[in-house]
Amino acid sequence: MQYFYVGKPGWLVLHAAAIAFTFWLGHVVRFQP
Amino acid sequence: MGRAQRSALLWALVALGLGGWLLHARIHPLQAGLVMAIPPSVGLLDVVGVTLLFLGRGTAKLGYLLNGLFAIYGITIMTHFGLVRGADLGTLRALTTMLPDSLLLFGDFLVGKALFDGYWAEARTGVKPWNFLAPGWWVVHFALIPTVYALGHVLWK
Repeated sequence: MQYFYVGKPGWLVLHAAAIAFTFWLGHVVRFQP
Repeated sequence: MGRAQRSALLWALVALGLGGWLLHARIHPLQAGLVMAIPPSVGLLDVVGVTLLFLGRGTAKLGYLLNGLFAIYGITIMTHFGLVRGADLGTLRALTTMLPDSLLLFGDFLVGKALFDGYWAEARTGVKPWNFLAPGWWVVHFALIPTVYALGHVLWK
């Protein structure tokens, strides 16, 4: 069963946003050694 | 799932979330600036928001999704922190520096899973293991989210 059905375009937009956010998060988090 | 079991799990979720939040409050003093306020703010959102979502059957789906994503991002960022701070310890020791904290967060995820299964287990018979919110879905996202995060860190200077 589907819990949140967003359709193929919704799925693509959601994943593009999630990948962009995660990529940006990796860029922005810089810990001092 | 009985009322007593659900109530115990909800309190376990609050206890783990609050425990983790208080640990963060020690490490990230709020007066140290806006950036230092992000981890406790996300933690508070996890404790209050996700717990509220787990109160109802319909919203438990979103609670489970957010709780799991918070856990994946938390474990990813804490492991990154451990690798940076423990760089002189060697890779394996550095990787496990934040393991106690990550395991707490993983326990928090599993409590959320138990709550979710309590609401939805009977509706999930016959679901493919890799379908949305099934165990395989989490395995895939537990692998891919840290990978994208690491790529962003390395490729985007």
